[in-house]
Amino acid sequence: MNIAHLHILVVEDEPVVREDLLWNLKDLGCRRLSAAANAEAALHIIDRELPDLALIDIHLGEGQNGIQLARQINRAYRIPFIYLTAFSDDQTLSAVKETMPAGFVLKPFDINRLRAALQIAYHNYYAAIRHRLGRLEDINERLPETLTAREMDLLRQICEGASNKQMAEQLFLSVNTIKTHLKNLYLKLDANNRAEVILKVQKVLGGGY
Amino acid sequence: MFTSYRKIITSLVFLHTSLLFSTLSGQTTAPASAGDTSRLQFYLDSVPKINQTDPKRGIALAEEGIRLAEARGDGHTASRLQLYKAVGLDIAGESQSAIDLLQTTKPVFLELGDTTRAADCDVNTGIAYYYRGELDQALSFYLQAYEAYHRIGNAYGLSRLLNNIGIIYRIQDKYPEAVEIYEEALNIKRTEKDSIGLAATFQNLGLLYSYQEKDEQSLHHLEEAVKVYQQLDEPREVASCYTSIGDALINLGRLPEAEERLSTAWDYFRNFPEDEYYSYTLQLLGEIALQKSDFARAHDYFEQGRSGIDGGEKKELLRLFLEKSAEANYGLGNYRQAYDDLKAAAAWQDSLTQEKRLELEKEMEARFEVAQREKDLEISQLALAKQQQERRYMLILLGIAVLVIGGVLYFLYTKNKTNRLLEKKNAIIEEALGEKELLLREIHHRVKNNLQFIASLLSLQSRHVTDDRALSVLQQSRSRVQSMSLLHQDLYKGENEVAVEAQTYLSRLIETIFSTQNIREDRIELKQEIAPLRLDVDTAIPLGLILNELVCNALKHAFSATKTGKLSVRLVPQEEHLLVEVADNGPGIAEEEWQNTDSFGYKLIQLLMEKLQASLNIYNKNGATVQLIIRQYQLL
Repeated sequence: MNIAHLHILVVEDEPVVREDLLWNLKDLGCRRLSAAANAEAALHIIDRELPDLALIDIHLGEGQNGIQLARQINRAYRIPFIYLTAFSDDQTLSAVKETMPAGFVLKPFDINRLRAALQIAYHNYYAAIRHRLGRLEDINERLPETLTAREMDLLRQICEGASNKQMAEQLFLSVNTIKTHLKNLYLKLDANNRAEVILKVQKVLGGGY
Repeated sequence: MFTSYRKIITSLVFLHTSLLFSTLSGQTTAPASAGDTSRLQFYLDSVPKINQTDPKRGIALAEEGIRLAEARGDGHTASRLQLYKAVGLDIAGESQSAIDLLQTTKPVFLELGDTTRAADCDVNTGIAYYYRGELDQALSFYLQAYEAYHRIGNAYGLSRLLNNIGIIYRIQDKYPEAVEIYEEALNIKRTEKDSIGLAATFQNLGLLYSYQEKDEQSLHHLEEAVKVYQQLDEPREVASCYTSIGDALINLGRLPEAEERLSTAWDYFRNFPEDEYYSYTLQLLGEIALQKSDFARAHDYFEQGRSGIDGGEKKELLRLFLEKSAEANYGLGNYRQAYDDLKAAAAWQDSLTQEKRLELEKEMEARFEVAQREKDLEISQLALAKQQQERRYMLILLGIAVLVIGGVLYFLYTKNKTNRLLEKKNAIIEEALGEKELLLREIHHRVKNNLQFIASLLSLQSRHVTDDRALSVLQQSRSRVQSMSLLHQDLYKGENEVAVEAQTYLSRLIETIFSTQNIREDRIELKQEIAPLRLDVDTAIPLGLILNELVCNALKHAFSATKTGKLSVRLVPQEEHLLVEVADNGPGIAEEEWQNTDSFGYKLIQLLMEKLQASLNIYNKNGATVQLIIRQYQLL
């Protein structure tokens, strides 16, 4: 599974480690990266950009810690996140479990292990969404504006984690056509990007991922 | 025969404590004009005297005096008057009131320190009991007083008291005891020069000896008594002594002397028919006449003696006279008369026997009652004892129950206390442990963060290095940091923070090396044989680092990018050391070459080996096998 197209947010208070992480993610092919040094900045970015995934350090210096941040994400944004932390004691782990993270990577991190964690998290997240695709038809009953068959196809592809190019290939359409359909889809779902689309779908269908 | 009637008709000279007081003077009312002191003195002087003639008036006067004394706060005088009032009550016949009053007054005297008058109370109590016929009670009080008088050396009181005690012994037929008492009294009275007392005691002793048929001794004491009585001009007592002397002389067979004394006595008693000695003297005179066979005179005496007796209390005496009379009549030849006398005597005898029988019956009855009462008493005492025993058992049971309950409560209390103490201690320990845990967690967290920081630093720096050798150095360093940090991941996860699971740690280490070296799993066949050992941190760190070097070295040199290789890692405990073996199927290692190349890896291995006291062997057979024998290690 390709994680290169994912928009990833790195939340880490130690600048050297944050920088190293970003470089490593770039090495993995990721181009859409955001970074925050604390929970406040992270929430600001999430609210504005709604990234696909967040890497969160538990210890964040001043302000809220990573677990508190995760709770807020769960409450308001429902994007998947992975803890990246030096904490590995039972107490921290049990607190971590309650927030249902998509993954957990121990510091000092190993880039291969981080990549694996990102892949697994992304896979599991969209797998959960795909699991609901069977009911995707129900979505029209709950939306003010119903989706067309093509738009529904696109929605499926988005939930598979496909890129525009992949969708175009899959649906035998040009990338531009895909973009047009996507615009319509975004409009109908009141979304600005893929992540928001998925979020919307989740909300409409109810329940978590 | 003589003895029996002698006892009947003879009473001893009784000395009432009233004898302690001087004779009555005329005055019987308190002097109105005199002061309180002299008025009280009047009461003290007059009450005892008035008691003898008019006890009721004596009592009233005493009460008057008591009120005055108490009003003046004169407790001693009040108590003295109480004593006199009690004597008055006794004389007036109210013996119980007298006894009660005496026994309540006695402790007052004792408190005031007047032991003599306290003893006087006992003496008068004894007298009251004596008059009621309760001789044992009387005796016990007399003896109490006797001891008290003895202690304080009151000879006068003692001598009078001895007299009274003697009387009781006499009545109880305890002659030897009585004699002893009188002898003692005699001594006192001699030293005290108490003539009348002395005479009375002599007389009493004389009588006592006569009861015991010790006529010589009787005679002697009676003669002594006569001497004193004569000096004191006591004609009645002289006469009574002569009668007794006559009796003794008859017994001794000295009839003329006896007749002489009895005649003298008779000269006195002929004028007092009521006197008990009247009949007694006649009796003895008759006896002498009988023995002289002068029956006519004997008969006259007996007749005369009998005439004054009207039966009643003196039945025994009457019977004696009738018998004697019969004897005389027989001597005179008046057989008919003699027969009648004997018959009458026999009738009186019967009557007496009857009385005696009745008395006996009464006594038997009384004894039976006493026995019955004793039996009842015994039964009630037994019942009481049983009850007491039951109560004792109950108390013992109760005691045991209390002890047991107390013990249990105490046990629970102490247990609870201990528990609370333990809880407290546990809480403290837990708190300390919690703090320690927190601290450890924090330290591990920092160590790992720092390791991450170092790793990131090395990683970032390597991005700005173009020289391949320098890049390799940085990457190797990063790999070593990673290897050390792996250990920390496992180290602080659970409770066995100091132990490192060899299997987990080493396999993860190898996996990490593969991962950082970008080795695809299908390219190299990895074989691990790691014993399930729990290593000490100080063993695990150098071991991990050495293994890191050996595996990296094997991956670097043994395998070309295209060839599929085999790598085997073993950690096996042997007899006295640990064996670590890393084998590959590469071209093999020339040890000298490895040493000589400016390899930091080899130097690091040497340094770490020193810590583990390890030795290194390299075999080249189907590849290279590096064997490490670790001698200094610690398993947990």
